[in-house]
Amino acid sequence: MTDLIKSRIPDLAACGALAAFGLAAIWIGSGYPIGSINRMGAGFFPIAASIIVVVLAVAAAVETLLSEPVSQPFKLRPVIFISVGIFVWARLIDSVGLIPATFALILLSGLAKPPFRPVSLIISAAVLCAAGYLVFMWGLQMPLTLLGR
Amino acid sequence: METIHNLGLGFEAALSAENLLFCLLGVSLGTFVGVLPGIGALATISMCLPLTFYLDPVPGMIMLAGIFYGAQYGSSTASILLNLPGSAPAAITCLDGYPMAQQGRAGVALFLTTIASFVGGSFSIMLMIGFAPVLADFAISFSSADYFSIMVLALVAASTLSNGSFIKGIAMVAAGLVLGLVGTDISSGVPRYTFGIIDISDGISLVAVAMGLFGVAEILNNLMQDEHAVVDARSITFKSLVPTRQDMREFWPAAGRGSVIGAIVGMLPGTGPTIATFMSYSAEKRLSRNPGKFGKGAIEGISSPEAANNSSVQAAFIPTLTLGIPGDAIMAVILGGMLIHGIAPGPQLIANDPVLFWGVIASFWIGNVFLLILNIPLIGIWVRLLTVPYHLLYPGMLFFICIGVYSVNNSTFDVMLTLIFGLIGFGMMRFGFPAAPLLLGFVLGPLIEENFRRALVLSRGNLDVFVSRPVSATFLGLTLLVLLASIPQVRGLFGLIAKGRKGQAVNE
Repeated sequence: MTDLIKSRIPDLAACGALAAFGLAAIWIGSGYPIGSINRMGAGFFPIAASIIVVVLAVAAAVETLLSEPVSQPFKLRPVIFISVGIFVWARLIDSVGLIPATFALILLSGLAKPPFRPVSLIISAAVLCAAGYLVFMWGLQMPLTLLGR
Repeated sequence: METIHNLGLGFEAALSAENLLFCLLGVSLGTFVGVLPGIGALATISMCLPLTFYLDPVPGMIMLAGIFYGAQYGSSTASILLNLPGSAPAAITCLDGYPMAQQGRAGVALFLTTIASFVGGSFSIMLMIGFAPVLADFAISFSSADYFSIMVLALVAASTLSNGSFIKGIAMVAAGLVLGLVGTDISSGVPRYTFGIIDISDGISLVAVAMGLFGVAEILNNLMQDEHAVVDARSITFKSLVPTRQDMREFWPAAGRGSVIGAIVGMLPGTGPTIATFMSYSAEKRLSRNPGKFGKGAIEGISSPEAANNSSVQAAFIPTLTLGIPGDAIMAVILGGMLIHGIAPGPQLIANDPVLFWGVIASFWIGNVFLLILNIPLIGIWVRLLTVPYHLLYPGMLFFICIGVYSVNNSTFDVMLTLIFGLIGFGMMRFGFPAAPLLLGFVLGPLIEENFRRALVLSRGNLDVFVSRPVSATFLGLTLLVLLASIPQVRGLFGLIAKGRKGQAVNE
């Protein structure tokens, strides 16, 4: 019995997260006017869809218990470096401009998969900055800066 | 006669220098991402969606569509050479394409899949020219209840006919509906699930959701895998492309059957190219006098699915343009793009915006001719592309995702949102929750709510309206059928019946 649950904890947690999403949506949605069937308010449809989410999340959990657990390789390293890379780009793009933000993104995300090749990453960051300048700043006239204001 | 006049109008639009350029750009980009495993048409289309906001709707649509069908041409290349599909629909091409490559016939396989794609694409374009205006005329009488039921079928079919658990598929559709409702309610003005954040008061950005689920999540998933096989680019010479006469004799009927299957599947709401390729492959296997040769490099095994693939992709534009109901997640993104451009696809589109409708159709043909040139004389370039290592590709892909999302609203909030959806999408992928139904639900959420509400306002709250109208009742009936067929026990029953029949056939 414990093994039945233990080997499937990640899968069950995923179903639980989905159910939590649905429950939260029902709870928040109940604050909106529900209306009636012939004149529905803003809350009617979201609550109905969220109820389906919760019911099916429970069904998916049952299905998980009835099927064989599958294990896949997992590496934390890519998740961290890709997340940090995107986060840093988003924080830097408005303040310090396209060039520093892009170099930070390329070098940080480059750490996600060994081997780390700084030289080829720096070259590709330079090429991407040039492409980004040509397409987005020169071509589409987007209000970006190369090195901040 | 009128059709010829309209087509003339379309070609006139499509042959302008600007539109030719964006058509070529679209199909080249499509082939590029199609060839590369690990980046699909969907991520690319969402990446280019913001770019089209700077263009007129016609070249914008031509380019987005070009990426979609261009990717189908390219995706067989990696299947044949690496046994690794460039995108999901090309998975079936691995079965017979890779054995052909091992037998030294990779060139022939590449040549035939390109011709098959062209045949399938052309078939559906002709079907579209003849059939789309008829369907649009018919659809003018559709009521809100009818639209609601067609969308229900699209959502249910898209989530149950794909691989994996159908419970998880429908759960994702429902979650997508909820996410699609975020923002200000159109009919009452009430802000829903916005938590006071201004950036999402008009709804969550479609580009952020699509790029997160299909761009970032896909990259993360690929980084969990080990290195892929390498390909010898020099082995594909021009001479190696030429098929034998026997090859061609096996090719034509298979490509023809694949085109028909693809067109039918493509037109139905909720069924995309992946299903079309699987269906055509199993049909070929069943029809063949020599089923044993499948999986060992059968010409029919690559020709029919490739024809079905492109045929279904072109046919998928029929429901999207004439009803405004996308068949799969990629068409949903294209539909979302049209809505942002202020074009409302539907039965009136052909009458209201003939240049757009016929121009896009004419561009399909021009694009398919471009693809023929790109994929036969220039195949060597694309094959060489497969030798670029992944650790150089993915940082660049991340850059285009970031700047692409940012360019929609100049909003770093959207970039953060992309990261969040990327992590969610990665988790979904690992635990078997499919992302495509979520995206389809996301795009259809507001539309399905609006039609549901309007239908019930008009019927004064009487739910009978969904079963008393013949169109609506038909589609709800089909939905029920699809649902029943996806319950494992029922499917097992079908399997038993089919097995029984086969057993009989063998006994005879």
